[in-house]
Formats: sequence, C-alpha cells, structure tokens
Amino acid sequence: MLINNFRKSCLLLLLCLPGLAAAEFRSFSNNSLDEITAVRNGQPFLLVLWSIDCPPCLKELEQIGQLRAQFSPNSLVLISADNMAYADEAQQVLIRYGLDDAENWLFSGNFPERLRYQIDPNWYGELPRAYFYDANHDRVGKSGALDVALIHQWIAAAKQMEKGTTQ
Amino acid sequence: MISKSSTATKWLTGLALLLTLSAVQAAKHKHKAPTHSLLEACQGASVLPSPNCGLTPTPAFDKDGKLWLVFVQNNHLYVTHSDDLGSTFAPPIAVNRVPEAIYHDGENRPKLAFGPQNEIYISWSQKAPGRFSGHIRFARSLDGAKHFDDPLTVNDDLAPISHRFDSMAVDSQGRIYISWVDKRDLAAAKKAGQDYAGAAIYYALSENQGKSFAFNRKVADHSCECCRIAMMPDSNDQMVTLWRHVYPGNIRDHAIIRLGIDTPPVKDQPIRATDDGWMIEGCPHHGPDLALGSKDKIHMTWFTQGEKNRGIVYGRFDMSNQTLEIQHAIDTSSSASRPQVAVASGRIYTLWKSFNGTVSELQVKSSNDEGASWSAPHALAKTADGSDFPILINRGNDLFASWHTRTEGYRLIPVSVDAH
Repeated sequence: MLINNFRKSCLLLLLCLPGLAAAEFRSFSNNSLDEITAVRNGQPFLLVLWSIDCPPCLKELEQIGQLRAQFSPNSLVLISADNMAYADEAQQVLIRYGLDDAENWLFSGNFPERLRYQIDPNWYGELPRAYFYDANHDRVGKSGALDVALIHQWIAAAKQMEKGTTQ
Repeated sequence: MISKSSTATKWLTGLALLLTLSAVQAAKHKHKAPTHSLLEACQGASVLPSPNCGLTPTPAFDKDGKLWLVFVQNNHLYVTHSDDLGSTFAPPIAVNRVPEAIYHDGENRPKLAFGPQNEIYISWSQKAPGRFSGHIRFARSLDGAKHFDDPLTVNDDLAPISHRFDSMAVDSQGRIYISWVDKRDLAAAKKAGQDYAGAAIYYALSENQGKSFAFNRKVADHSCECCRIAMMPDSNDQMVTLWRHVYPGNIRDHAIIRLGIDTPPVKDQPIRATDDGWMIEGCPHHGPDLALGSKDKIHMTWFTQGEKNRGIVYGRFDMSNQTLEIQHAIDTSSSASRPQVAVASGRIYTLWKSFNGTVSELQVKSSNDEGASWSAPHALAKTADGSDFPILINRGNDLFASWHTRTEGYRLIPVSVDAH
C-alpha cells in the first residue's frame, strides 16, 4: 500500500516536471529585450539565440559552455527560440553543456515572428544567431555557429571595455 | 518505440531532479500548459480532434477533387475530408491506433497523397528517444479512410538517430516514393573518427500500394540537416527532387535530381539547382518548393541569404541542360518566409508568409510568361497571432492556399486568377 502510494505520488510529481523544468527559463516576451539591456547599462554582453532542433546551435553551446568561466558576470544571455512545449528538452541541453545556471530565456507564446521582429527586424530567423553588444549597446549580429577564436577575442575585448567604463 | 525499461530510469531520474528543486521554486514558477489555438472550441482538456484544434493540418485533393486533411493531435494522426472546400469537415478518423510521438513543426509535418484508385497514403516522422532522433512512418487506407492498416517504419536503419523530414509523392503508375533526411552515414563517419558534413538524402519505393517498401536507397551525401525536401513526378514519372545541400565550404544552396525506381547514389557533387553562395554553419529550417510546368520546366522557390540573393527567390530550372534559366527576387524583406510555388492554367504562382511588425500575411505573386516577369505582391490573408506554414495546392487549374492560424483555425483560401 505504502509502495503503491509512493508510486502514485511519484507519478503525479513526474507529471509536474515539464512545468518545473520550464522554471529555469525566463519567459521571453514583448519587452524582454529592453529588460535584458536595461540591467546591463554600460556593460558589454553576448546575446545568443539557439534552438534544440539545430545541430550547429548545440555545437556552439558546447563551446560556450567550455568558455563559460571566462565570461564576466552578466555578460552572457541565452535565448532559446523554442516553444514552451519544448522547455524540458531545452533544459536538458543546457544541463548537458553546463549552461543551465546561465541567464536563460525561452520564447513565450506561439507567435515567434513577433519576437524575432522585436529582437531584430532585419534578422531572417536563421539559427544560431548571436549579437555582440558593446558598452554603448551598439551591436553586431552574426548568424551561424560562432568560431571559438571569435568568442575568445570578444571576451577579451569586453573585459577591456568594462575596465574602461569602471576607471 | 519507447522501451518499457526506460520508464523506471525516468522515474528515478525524475525523482532525483525533483529533490534538487525547492518547493518554493516549484510554487513560484507553475505555468499554464501551452495551448495550441486561441479558438474557444480548442480550449480544455477533452478537446475533440479537428482541423482547427489539431496541428500542422496538411491538405491533398483526391482524384475526385475532394479535399482531405491530415493533422496531428495528442500523439495521433487524424484524417478528415470536406465536401464544401473546407467549410465543414467529416468526423476525423485516427490513422495510428497506438499513440506515438509525432513531429509536427512546420518543416517536419505529416504528408498525405493519393494513389490512382484513391488509395490514401500518409507518411510522417515519428519522434524517437534521443536528440534529433526519428523514424519515417507510413500508413495506408484502401477503403476511403474507413480503416487504416498498422503503420510501417520505412527506414531500414533503426538506430536511434535522425531519419526525419519525410516527403512523399506518387507517380502515375501508383508507385509511392518517400524521401527523407538520414544521419546513418554521419553516425558511421563519427564512429570511424571521420568528419561528415550535414546528413544524407535517402529514398524508398513501394510498388504494392504501400503494403511494403523496398530497401532504402541513398540519393546523396551531405544534405542540410533540417530542411524539408520538395518532390514531384515529371511527365516521364521521374521524381524531381530538390533539397538544401551542404556544398564544400558549408555553402547551403540547393541540389536537384530526378529519381527513378533504381537511381544510384550521386558519386560526386549533386547537380546544383541554386547558386547563391550562402555560407552558414547553421540551420535555415527552410526547405525549397517546386512545381512542374510545360515541357517539364522546373519552377522552384527557396529561401536564402547568400552573396547573390537574399530572401525569397524564384528560379526556373531546365533539367535537360542543367541550367538555372531565370531567377527573380520575390521578396527580399527579412520576414519573408516559407515560399511555395504552383502552376495553374499556365500561370506560375508563388505564395509566402511575411510579417509587418503587427500581423502575418500571405502574399501572392504570379507570372504569365514562365517566370520571366512577375506581378506586384497581393495580400491574400492575414492573422494577428501565431500561424503555421502556408501550403499552395492545386485542384486541377484551381489554386488554393491552405493555412492554419491560431485565431482563425483552418482555412482553405482560393487564389483567384482574376486578381492578377
């Protein structure tokens, strides 16, 4: 009886798991980009958009995961362009590459066109997509998996920029 | 395909995961289950299957000109038909009696085709455990959807890897061709410690009304991993097949081939149908479309961000001399997506989706000179929320746009010839 009850409650809890996994994500909606930039006033950061159904995205996340320690605090923002229904799978990817405790966002709702447009009206939607923000929040967009050397270079440059703004 | 033994493991993993999450977090972040449609009839736990509430409804007209749809809802495929061009639908019939996970994103949606005697053929990509994993599945009904035979798995490699993005077409003899994106060669290369760009295109053929499929044949190595394939028979019953390829240097332009019943795999580089020079190590998730016109001229439309073209492009290809004869920029704006092409009464039509910051619109352009010059774009329909990819579909010389949107549900929209 006890075992049965345990089993039942466990199953019930398992049903809640997708909801729990989604908890690790912040919901990316209409004003989220403003929110992201506002809290990084004067700070350079790297914004990376990715999806679970994009092999080069996973390759890129693996590399970013390996370089994770070198990023300044708050200088890395990851946005999954997947639907909320795939929160679980997206979460597993992030755990795998040691990025689950990074600042992670997930597209909310069912109208990705609008969210993409708000991020960048000139972006065609291809993934992975990255934006390199400088301290003034001027940004450069790049499509396709990022080269490790480029990420290194940016991390170093961002640290220089940060020094510049704190001096 | 999910084994029973994995249930216990899931259980324990689930429990372990749960223990690491605090009750506070759990309470704070509860969210509503995602809903697929805004239509009131589609809300709630016990929604009946319907083209409005289901996902990725995909149309085909049977030999009598009747509209049929296949769609995905709650791990089932359903088939329904309409006697009034989509205003009302018959009660849907389940294709798979045993529920299974089914891919239902826009590029990876179920397919529906008819044999010469109105045999109903359905293909789809089943979601298998593991990232990007899937199997190509097929089911048929020989009695007008009263009954579907048990589904078959078409790929003969059953490793838990990617066999997805199925495409299906039937030739005039009733032979069923299914092509798909397959990663068995990538898996073999990885095992041997070798590099392998992209995936491969495979196909299989049934010559017995879908009772079984012959062994899998490779079409070509190094296709893009995540784009649908376009396939249509020409006047000689060769399947003209167009896909996004990975040419050397990570150039993701399109390749074309004519498949017959025993076409050997391409040895070197496949024939290049488009030459935009789009170099990207990324996933466009954006497959091409094709339609055959007079003299088997191939009318193609595709998405690119190459050096030479950007956005939605139309091109006319002549297979006899392997020449891209005409190219035309259909829409260069960044929101232009999901292009379709069709031929009706000798006129070429392209249809695509665009977003203007507020609403998504279906746009149409047409050409009455075999693609040399094109009309101005004409907005056919719009929606202010999420939407599926549009599909352009012929009923003889009548042309329709099939579109599922969250607010309006399923629509079959006539594409008027007079409007152009």
